[in-house]
Amino acid sequence: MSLGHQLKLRTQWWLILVAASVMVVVLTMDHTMLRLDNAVYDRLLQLGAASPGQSVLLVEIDDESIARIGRWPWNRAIHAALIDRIKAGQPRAIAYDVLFTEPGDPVTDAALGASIAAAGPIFLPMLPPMPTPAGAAAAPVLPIEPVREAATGIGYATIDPDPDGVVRSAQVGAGPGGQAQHLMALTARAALGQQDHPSSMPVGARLIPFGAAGRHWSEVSAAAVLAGQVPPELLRDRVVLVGATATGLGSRYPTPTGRVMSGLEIEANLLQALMGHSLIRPASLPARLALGLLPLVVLMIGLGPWRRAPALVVFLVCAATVIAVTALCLLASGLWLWLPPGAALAGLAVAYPLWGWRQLAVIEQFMRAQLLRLEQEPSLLPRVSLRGSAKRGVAGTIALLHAAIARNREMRHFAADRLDQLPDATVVADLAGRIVLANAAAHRLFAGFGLAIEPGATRAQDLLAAVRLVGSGNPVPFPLYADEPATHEVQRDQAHFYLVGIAPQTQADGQRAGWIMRLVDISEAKAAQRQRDDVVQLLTHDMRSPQASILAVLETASPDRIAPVEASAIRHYAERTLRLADGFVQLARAEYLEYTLEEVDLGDMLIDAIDDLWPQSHAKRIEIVTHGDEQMLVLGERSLLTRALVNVIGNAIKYSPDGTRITCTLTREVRADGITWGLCAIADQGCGMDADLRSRMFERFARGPVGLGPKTSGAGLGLSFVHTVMVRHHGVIGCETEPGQGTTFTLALPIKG
Amino acid sequence: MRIAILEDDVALAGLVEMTLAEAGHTCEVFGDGQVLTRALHRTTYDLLILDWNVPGMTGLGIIEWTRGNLEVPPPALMLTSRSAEEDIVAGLSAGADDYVIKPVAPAVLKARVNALGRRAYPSASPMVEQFGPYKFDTRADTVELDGQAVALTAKEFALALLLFRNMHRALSRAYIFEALWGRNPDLPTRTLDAHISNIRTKLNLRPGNGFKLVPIYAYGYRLEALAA
Repeated sequence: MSLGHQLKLRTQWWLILVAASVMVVVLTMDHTMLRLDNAVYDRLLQLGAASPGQSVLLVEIDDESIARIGRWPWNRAIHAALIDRIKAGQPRAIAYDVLFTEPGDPVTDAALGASIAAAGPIFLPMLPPMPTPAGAAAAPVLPIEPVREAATGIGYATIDPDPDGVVRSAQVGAGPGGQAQHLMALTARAALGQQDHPSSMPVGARLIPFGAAGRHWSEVSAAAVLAGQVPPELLRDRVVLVGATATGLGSRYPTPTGRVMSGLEIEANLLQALMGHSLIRPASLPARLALGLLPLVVLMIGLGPWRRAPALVVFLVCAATVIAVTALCLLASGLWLWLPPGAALAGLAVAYPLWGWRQLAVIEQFMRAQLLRLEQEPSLLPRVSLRGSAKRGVAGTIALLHAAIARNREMRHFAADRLDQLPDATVVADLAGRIVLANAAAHRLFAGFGLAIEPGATRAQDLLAAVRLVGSGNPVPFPLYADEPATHEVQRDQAHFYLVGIAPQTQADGQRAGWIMRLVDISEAKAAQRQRDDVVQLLTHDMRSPQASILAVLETASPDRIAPVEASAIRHYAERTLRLADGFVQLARAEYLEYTLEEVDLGDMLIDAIDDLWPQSHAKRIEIVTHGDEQMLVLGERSLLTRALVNVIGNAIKYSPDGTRITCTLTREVRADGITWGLCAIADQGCGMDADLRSRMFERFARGPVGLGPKTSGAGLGLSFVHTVMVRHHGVIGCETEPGQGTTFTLALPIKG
Repeated sequence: MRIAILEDDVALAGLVEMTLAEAGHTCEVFGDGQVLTRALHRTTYDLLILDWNVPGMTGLGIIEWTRGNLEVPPPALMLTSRSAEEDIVAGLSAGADDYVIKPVAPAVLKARVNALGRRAYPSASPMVEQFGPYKFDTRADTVELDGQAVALTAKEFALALLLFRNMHRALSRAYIFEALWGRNPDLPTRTLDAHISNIRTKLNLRPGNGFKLVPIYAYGYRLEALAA
């Protein structure tokens, strides 16, 4: 992807992260997600396991009690009797949730106070202050004085449903008065024997673990207690909670368990949680922010810079983790902590699709830009018509993509067709050598070898196994790791030769893609070469041998068998035949030999040539002088260059009168093209050449002048050889001559370095 | 020396035999390679002169056979009408100690045969060695030409002495390199050419002086003394 698009994508990533974070913070602080949180909370509570609790006994003023004792409110003497009955059972503490706020008959009130005073730890409710319409300062409504003074403690017994009407929490600690506590908190503290430590009870709003704690209380009817039908053992050492549940007395509330409970039952739950220390604490704001933001950051990193899994998986893992942490804090760990997951889940649910959408949008832009660029690129093929490519948006991009795919497909057909039309067997292989493409010629060729090419299955190595390297007979190495193109001469049998070229195949970005292998049939060229070799073989050996034998016969025969004059003539002809053969062989070598170039000194070769010709020059008393002895290194084939010099100097000797001088001069010359040339000028004082001979002196079998100079013997191949050698060394040969003025041959070769 | 000649051409074989007999050698001529190997089983020769193409077994085949079958293979001289440099190199690489191209010049043949004999059966080197006008003092590493001292570097002296001691013998580059520089493969091949060039100039190893330094294609050098 281009840098611009990557930058764009990165910017959008940051934007989404920041926006989603802000949203999570707002949702966390303003409780917008309360419904979701509550739903999760209720569901989790129902899953919770029961925790061990202290035993509680409910004494219910139920329908049966009303039926047996009489209508509500009861005479306070009945309450006094009930308290006396309960006290007789020796409970640990009593919470008597009945309001005695209006004064009644003083005698009865006093009797009730006496019963209360005698009852041991007993706690009574009061009414929280009610704001008056006039806005006057309100005070809590306390029980009547005898009762108030007799009770161990007085607390609120209010139940505050949430806005959705479900009771989840209670103000355990500070009531409206600041110091006062909930009736159940007072009772629990007394039951636990912690009267002296008010701080041991939690302060503020707490959530009641409905259901999680299970039911650990028994219920009896107040009428049964009054009638003495309840065994005292049921009351002993228990916390007794007395309150009204009869129809029409006391409200009923929905709870997270899904059940509608009486106020008394809700208080029993609260009491039990207080005694089991299992009240649930709402998490602090930093903790809730952490739960909201951390998963969001993890999700964004997991979707963006550190992508390791499919986006959906990352999203699900993040969401599941949030729920799991919430559940763990609430239920499993004994933390009794409520971390609302709503904001976190909302953050994830917004960021995930938002990022997906933005990513798609940027990719679509990128794709469109790329496709448009591809469209602009020159094509080998006629352009595919682009209907609707001008359209904007997705439709336009789809049209572009469609065109690109069509073009690609046609390009593949085009490439395959061209490959098929190549005259030489060509295969394209992947890095491991598996054939990807093979043209018709390749199929034909290998079918001739009995090999069928199946793209994808056949390997280049299998094909190469059908041939052997020429010369060594070794298998052809398939270059799996070499970078350089390689060429091998291979043979199938004695008559079929091929040139195998293997080149690495690279993609536009330079990445290695595989190999391209081509087999060229060189059987005919090989056959021609062998024929040429045969001719050279014939000349070099089969024709020389008899001549050598003739000379041997002449050498060994006694003068009385062969007359010296005839012997001399025969020797002359035999030697000439030999020279002809040698000259021809040398010319063939100069033309066809593969030169192995080395650094050689032109001066050294000149000396070699002069020394080689010493017998001839000595015989004619010709002096050969050299000038310029500085080293002149050229890249060349030493034996051929030396022989070329031998031929030139030999000619000079041949066509020079006795007692003359041949001057060889080595000079250096920088020509216009910047290349330094080494020049070897060989000047004789011989007969020179006329224009006609000069024009054809490099032709084969061109002979020196007859009659103009001394009688000479030569094959007429010498200068042709020199010419060939110089041309193949990228050199130049020049000649200045006039009849009777001598000849100067100049051999010029590029100097190395 | 006792020399075996493998040559199926009667006239050539006769010339070779006559030439070497003049030089005091005993020769036996074989026309068939197989016959020669049978003879080599029975008896010992000091030198083999082998034609390339003969019935029975080629000259190169004989060389290979002696390497494999004889405890002390005698030196071998290829006598061939193949004049192409590649063939010469092939023969030398295959183990021939030297070669002579037909037609045979009797003087050359004698010189080469003697050179091979000297090498295969060397005599102790004296302190002062005389080769024509050249006098080598191996104690002082000095050389005189016609009584005049010639200044040579240590390597040039060693190279010159090596060539003179192996007069008429083809010395491969590898052989010269190892004799002068030890087993040091890093030297450029030009080094040897430069040294050869130097001693040719300093010692005047030119035909006018009776000596000729011949480069052998892709193989090495040979110093030849020209017949006076």
